[in-house]
Amino acid sequence: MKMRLLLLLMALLPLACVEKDTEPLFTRLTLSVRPPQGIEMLRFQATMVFENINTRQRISTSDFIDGQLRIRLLKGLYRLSINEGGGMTYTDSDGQRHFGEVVVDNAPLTLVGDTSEATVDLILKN
Amino acid sequence: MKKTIYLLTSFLAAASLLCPAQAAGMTADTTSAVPPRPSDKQRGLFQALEEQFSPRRQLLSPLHAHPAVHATARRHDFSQAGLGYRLRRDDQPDLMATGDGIDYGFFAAESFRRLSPHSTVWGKAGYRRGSVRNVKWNSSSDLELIYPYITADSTGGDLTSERYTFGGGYGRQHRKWTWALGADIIASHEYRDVDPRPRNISTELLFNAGAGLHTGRYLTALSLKVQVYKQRGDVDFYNPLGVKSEYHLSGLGTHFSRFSGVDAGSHYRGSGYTLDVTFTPRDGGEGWFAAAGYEHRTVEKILIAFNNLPLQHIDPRTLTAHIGHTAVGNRLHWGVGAHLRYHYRPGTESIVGEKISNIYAVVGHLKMYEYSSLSARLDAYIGHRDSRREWNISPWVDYRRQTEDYLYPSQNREVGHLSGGVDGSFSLKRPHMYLRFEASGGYRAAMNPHLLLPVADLHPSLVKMVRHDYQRLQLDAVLLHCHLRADHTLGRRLNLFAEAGYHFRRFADSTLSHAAELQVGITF
Repeated sequence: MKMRLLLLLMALLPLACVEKDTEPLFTRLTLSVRPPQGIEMLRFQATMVFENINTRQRISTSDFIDGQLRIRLLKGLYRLSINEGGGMTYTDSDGQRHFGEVVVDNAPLTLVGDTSEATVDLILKN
Repeated sequence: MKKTIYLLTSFLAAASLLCPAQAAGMTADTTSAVPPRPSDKQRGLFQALEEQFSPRRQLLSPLHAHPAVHATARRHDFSQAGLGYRLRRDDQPDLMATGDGIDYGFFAAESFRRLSPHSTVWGKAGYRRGSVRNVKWNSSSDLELIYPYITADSTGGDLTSERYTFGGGYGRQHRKWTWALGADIIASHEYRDVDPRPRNISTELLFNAGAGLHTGRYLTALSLKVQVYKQRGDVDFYNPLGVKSEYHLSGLGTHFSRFSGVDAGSHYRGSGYTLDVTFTPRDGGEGWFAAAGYEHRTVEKILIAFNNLPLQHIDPRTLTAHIGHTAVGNRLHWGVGAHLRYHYRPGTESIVGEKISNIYAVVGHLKMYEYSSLSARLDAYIGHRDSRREWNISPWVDYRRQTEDYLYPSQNREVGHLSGGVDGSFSLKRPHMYLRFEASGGYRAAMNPHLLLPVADLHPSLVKMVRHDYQRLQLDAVLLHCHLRADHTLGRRLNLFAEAGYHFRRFADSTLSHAAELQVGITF
């Protein structure tokens, strides 16, 4: 009897937690990085920082797979940057393999849809 | 502070002693000589006072905003004009944004007149000037209209405040229906003469129209009210070394970071409408009453310094409902009423794009803030009136719950209050004197308070402000109130009056709040 009462209370507990639906505030972004022309990117290793220009909140992630990242962000206007030391392994037009640090074009990205796709150009530092 | 309270207490004690002394003097006079009988006009003025202070009128007061009901709500003409002073002192402010005290001198006048058996006209005018003490985290005016989107800084200070109010209306009864029109204007000006120097000017216009059908001895009426609101404000610093950032608050300690700084000029504009339906006895009679109303307003905050950028927007909606019954028996009069109010206030922030050619484009909107409050109140009264005296006892119980959320990062503040108490009044009518004394006591208990704040994401001073306000909201409190009024006949239909009132609150943390009001004037 006691066990049944406990199970009933546990089943009812989720009803006491009325959470706000915040999903409409977010966008699911698929971000791709594009190497400079003439370069074949083999691997991208960097921490990308998303700074919300309006709220000044910063979110960092390095969860790239084959140069692509999926992330859930608050809708807004973002400026992207790459943390110091981040870069890519690539082969040049001669077939030589290199590692080079990169930065991204810091033109703001406007993300206001429920889903977004964007591609940012990588710029080799030297 | 202590000296002020001592002086006020002495005045109230002296007034209490003086009025019975005057009544004793009147009684002594009647034993030795017959005083002149009060004229019909004087009797009418005393009856107007009884009607003005009747518990029935207090119970139905939410319905009197309806112009067709207002036009038929009184049986007796009544006009009053007076000068007064009001002050409040709190050991701790209820909200940092509203300060810990006020000092106002004021002039207030109101009038209700029957132009003919079928038409009435009413009007009011008022002016108050004074200061609000120690306002912090609020450089805007009319907090209750624009919350949470206020401009604020961490310094604050005393604010000088003045407000003008004018209003009036006209109503006409035909055989089967009544119609009425009304209008009000409220204008205010608030400023500070030391850095930081906010200066805000606001105006609100209200237009009201209503009509109702006569159904037996009842009036079933509809009304529509339209509101237009504007506020313009700025914050200046005269000392170039003391310039501080102004924040555009977004609720629960958050602010719109991109535009915080010294360019704080902002403009609020709003509009709204209210629809009401009421069912009341005609001509201030007894019986059942019921009413329901829906109000919808919008207020937008625009940043002047950023090329009139619409930054934030609130969209408050309010539902009200009232029901009750009043009756007069052989010996006693009584009444009971239930009142319900639900208020929902969602707030939306603009997603502001890049600045191109000095123009900030708005590329989207996010509903980031929600506030809701539910209040339910039960009132009752029972009393007795004869030709010379009246007493009333009015118990009440009130439940309120308010919930406030900032959606991301998730923040929440909730608290409920259960209050109850008893109001009592006693009034004495003599040939040339009307005396009224009120006293009330009550208790407020806070219920289920809750606060969730991601402190790592918020400015430390703003966290401190939110925590302070929350700590005040979750305190229990004892509530006491007394009020004394004396009216003395000067002429055929002219009375001189003086009144004084005192409110006292003692919170569970032993902090106190005192408020007092004095007024002298004429009724005619």
